[in-house]
Amino acid sequence: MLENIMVIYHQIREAWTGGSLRDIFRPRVFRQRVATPVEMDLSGTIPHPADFLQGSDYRFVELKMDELRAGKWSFAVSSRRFKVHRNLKKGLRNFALVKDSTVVGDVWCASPHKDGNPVTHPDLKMLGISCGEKEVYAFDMLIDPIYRGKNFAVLLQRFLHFTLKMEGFRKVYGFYWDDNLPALWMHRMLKYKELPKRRVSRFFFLKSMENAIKPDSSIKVFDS
Amino acid sequence: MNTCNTIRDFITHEMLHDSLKTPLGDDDQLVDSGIIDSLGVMNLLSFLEEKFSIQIPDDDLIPENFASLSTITALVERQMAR
Repeated sequence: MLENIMVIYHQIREAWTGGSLRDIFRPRVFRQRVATPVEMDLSGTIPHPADFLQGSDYRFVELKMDELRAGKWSFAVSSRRFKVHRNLKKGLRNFALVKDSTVVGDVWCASPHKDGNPVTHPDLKMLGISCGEKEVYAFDMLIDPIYRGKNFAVLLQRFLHFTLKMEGFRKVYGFYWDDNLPALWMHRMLKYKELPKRRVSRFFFLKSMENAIKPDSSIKVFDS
Repeated sequence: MNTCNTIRDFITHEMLHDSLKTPLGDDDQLVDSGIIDSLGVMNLLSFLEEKFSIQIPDDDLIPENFASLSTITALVERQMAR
């Protein structure tokens, strides 16, 4: 509970200093927003993402709780620290792009429970997805705004895919909001398979969802 | 000014770093080279839709359609013909 309060407090503070309280409400209050669930088959060849960072100050890491507690990492977006702490305690995994000791971008991953039970996450019902064995759900990617425009989102996703594949996972699910063009572009750059769209309404903790009515809402793979 | 040159001018002035402002070829790879990324495609899309009075459907927002000046021009002309 305390972690949730800290996350929300810092998000409000960031929105206030950033000049837009709309950023607080937009993810929590909306009507008829269209979500596109996606999936990525990890069976193909995935280049090692570190190859793309050679000679730069950036590297990929998986954040661990002990390192966080030791103060090893600072966060370009301060609310993210509290979210990382809260979510790591829940057993979620965080894959990050860091510059020196600053986390400049990260993405979350819900993997199967240690007792073998499949992935559970509130988004899965919204998206009409159920993760099977060796399948995970990736969500809530954030790249600090001052580091955007450098293709880091694509590289961070590739790090996620590479790591999960090495660990024996076969598929990763995700989604993007149709009104989020950068997210749409990133998923299509990575050749995610698009699943039937879902129309979602939300008022804070209350959600309703339905299949988006669209003549061509069949599964699409954007492939060359 | 024809469609291709209009788009070329926009990309050259708005999306190329100063050191790279050499003339863009029609088939230069814009996505693979990183000239068009997720933020750049937003700016380019706004420009194309306003400049040419078109609406590019979501299904056409794929890297292949923005790979080069040639493919972008073809995309715009397809929309203009509708």
